[in-house]
Amino acid sequence: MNFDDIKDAWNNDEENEKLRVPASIDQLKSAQLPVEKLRRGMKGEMYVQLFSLLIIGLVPQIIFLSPVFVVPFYTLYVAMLGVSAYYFFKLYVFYKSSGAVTLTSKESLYELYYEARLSIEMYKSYTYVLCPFGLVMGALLILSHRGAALTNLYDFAVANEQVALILSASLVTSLFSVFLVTEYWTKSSYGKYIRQIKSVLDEIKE
Amino acid sequence: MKSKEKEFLALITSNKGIIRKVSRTYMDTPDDQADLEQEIIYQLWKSFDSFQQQSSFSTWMYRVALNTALVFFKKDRRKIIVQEEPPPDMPSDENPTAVKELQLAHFYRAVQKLERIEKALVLLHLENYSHKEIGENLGISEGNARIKLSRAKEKLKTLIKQQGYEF
Repeated sequence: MNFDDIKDAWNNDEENEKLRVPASIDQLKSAQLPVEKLRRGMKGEMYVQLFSLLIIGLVPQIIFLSPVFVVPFYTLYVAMLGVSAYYFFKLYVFYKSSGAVTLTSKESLYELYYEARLSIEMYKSYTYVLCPFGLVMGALLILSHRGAALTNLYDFAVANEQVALILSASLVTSLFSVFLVTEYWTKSSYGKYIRQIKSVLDEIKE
Repeated sequence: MKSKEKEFLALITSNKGIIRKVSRTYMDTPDDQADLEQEIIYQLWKSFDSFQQQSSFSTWMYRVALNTALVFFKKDRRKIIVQEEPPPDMPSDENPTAVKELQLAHFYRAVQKLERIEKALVLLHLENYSHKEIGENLGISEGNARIKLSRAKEKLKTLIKQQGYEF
């Protein structure tokens, strides 16, 4: 056997005609492309985030919020919605992008790779941007309910260096935990798709 | 059915051999092949508006099919244990059809063991694309396409020989 024999057999193989073409386009759906899985995963998370935003907006109605904190709370909430709208719009653009399958293989792989990386980085930055909002809104809620206790704790921390240090360390640890959880979550949920595209990209590199 | 959809499905039907060849080269089980075929048709439909008739439909279709296959990963079918079938025996008579079937069976078995880009190179070579055209499709230089194809062919040859078929 040689390659000409394979070519001949390959082009005259009756098996080639055994493809079942769908009767209509509606029957088609994408399933196994890493980038499609990534898009689907992020779309699912977007619904959870939208639901969470709704709940946050209702918190002052569920838990009593002192009238003096209502305006600052909702000012932050509107800013949070603005940031979320920007992020959701970017995600929508990624979701609707064609995936560049008509480019050369190398260009197509690079496009997919960077598109996927960019989406994940955006997802992470969105999470980090929400942190200060969460902190301040949480502080407003605590102040509203345990204002006196918080003032006492503040006075105590100002007077006692060790307490101030413990409080600062707790804050830094909490923020660092958010960072670690976000990194771990994106890596375990979406990292494999990036690695799959990267492995093919490495093969094609000159 | 809309006329665009009708036109698309007619074009797919008349070029369906391309999709079958790509799916059989990239996937080894009928289920995975069917999944890849559906994915290719889906991606072709999604990009159909970008087909500008500057090249033939089959050329454009090959590009989309290959780019889809390159990043298509099988479903995790953990419950199913896929056993590799042994290569078919040598046909006892000199029936040319049986010989061709045997050659193809050996080819498809061996090609599964190639890397994804190597599969693309072999596929385009079997479709009589020149080194220049292969390079243009994959986005690599003509020289690099020549070197990579030569290595892929050599690897394929060794694999077929290891299966006990003379090459």
